Amino acid sequence: MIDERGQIAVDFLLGISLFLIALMFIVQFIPGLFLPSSANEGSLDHTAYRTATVLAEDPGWWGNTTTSNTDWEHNTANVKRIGLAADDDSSSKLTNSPNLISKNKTIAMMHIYKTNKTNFEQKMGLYDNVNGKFLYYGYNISLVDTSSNIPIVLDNTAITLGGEIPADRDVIKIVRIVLIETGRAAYFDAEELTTPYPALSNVTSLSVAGPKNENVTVVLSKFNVTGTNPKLESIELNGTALVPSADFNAYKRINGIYSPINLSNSLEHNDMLRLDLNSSLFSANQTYLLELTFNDIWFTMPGAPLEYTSREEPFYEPAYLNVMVWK
Amino acid sequence: MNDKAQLHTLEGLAAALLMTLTILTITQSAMIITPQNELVMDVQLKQIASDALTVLDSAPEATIRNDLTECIASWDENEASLDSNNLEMLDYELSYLLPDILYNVNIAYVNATTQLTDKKVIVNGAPTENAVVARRLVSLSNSTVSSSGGEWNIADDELLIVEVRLTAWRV
Repeated sequence: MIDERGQIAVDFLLGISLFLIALMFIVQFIPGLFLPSSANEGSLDHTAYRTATVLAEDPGWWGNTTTSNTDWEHNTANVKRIGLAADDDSSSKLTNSPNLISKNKTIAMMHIYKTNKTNFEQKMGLYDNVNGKFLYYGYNISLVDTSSNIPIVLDNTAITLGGEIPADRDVIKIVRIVLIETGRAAYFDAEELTTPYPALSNVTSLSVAGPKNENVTVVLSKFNVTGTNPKLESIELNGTALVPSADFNAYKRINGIYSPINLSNSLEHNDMLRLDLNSSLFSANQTYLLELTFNDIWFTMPGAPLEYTSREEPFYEPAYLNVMVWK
Repeated sequence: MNDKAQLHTLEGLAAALLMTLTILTITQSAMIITPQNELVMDVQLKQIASDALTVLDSAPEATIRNDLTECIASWDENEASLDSNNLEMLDYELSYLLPDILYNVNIAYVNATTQLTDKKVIVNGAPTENAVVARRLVSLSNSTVSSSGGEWNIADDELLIVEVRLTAWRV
């Protein structure tokens, strides 16, 4: 009798084996069954990524009952999607120039944000829909200068929107490198510039039709240098000498990137000189004559001054698009 | 009497199977938690590296003087080594756009006589395990090469497609 106690019955062994195998099978094949339900936390990664990608690579979209295309910056009331990429053909849904940010679209985005924040948050998809109730995320979107990290100013508005970045929460940050249209510029080869004097001269002139509400930016290159001290001597507007930094800023491209210079800096043949002239100088409805005087840089072609406005095109500068999202 | 409820060969086998399965299940089901934040860092790094190439490639003339095509076209056909990069303009532009990020640049191309060629043009060190690669294709012709002062040997009626590979990593 004593050997019969405390024994495992074969039927029981078989039964418990089958049960355990079935249980293990279920645990193994349904992933997430016993995971804590905090997987939602990660979804903001995608929100930040999506927001940055739509802003940098998509030209946006607007539509009403009759028409729709990508130039939503002129139809902000019917905007469907906010995207900032510049688009030269508004009827196609995509752009050929991702990462090239349009100035007008950026200003329109700031306008939508300032007039109706909720509308902006819904258009950008910055919310979580819990049973039909919208929970809005915290966010901070800005376009900053690559060297100083200060928000870029367009149309007297710093391009930064959203709330303060909280110190006590997980903040997801995505950075995109973009080119932002900061104004308009005209590019001239120095060889094509004319001089008002009949023979070889250090002076060249451009005509600018006013009024201008954006800075007049002239980019010059391919200088004809003869002499030891090639530089820009002075700038005159309708016979009045302009004052550096008050009226204009000069930049020279050093290793591909523009850096501010003063007038004593030397200019070689392949250097690019950028002159930013204050828009307030060109406020009247008249034609302005801009006269540039150089030293040891020569202009050979006599003739009428070249027209600035007809050569104007968008001027882009590198910038970072920062998108930060938190709950 | 002694024959009741005893383990015999078949039952021993079942018990062994049960134990093996249990151990197997425990070792296999160790929960693997995906390091989500690290994943986002990788995506971010890859994105910013590919942005740098896009921006350099699509920059209008007046913005960045030597765009990606011009930089690659000016290559003198010599491979780079550590601290002796031979595309200094590209190196400068990339270091301006990618602060706090280390990178190497290789170029890969196929031409008539050689197989696929992969050359180092910017070397800043050995990439870490978390390095990512961004790629961009540029097309070179004889006129782009001669105007940029490079040493590429391309016939007048030929286009050469070069893949620029940017390997980026954080330290």
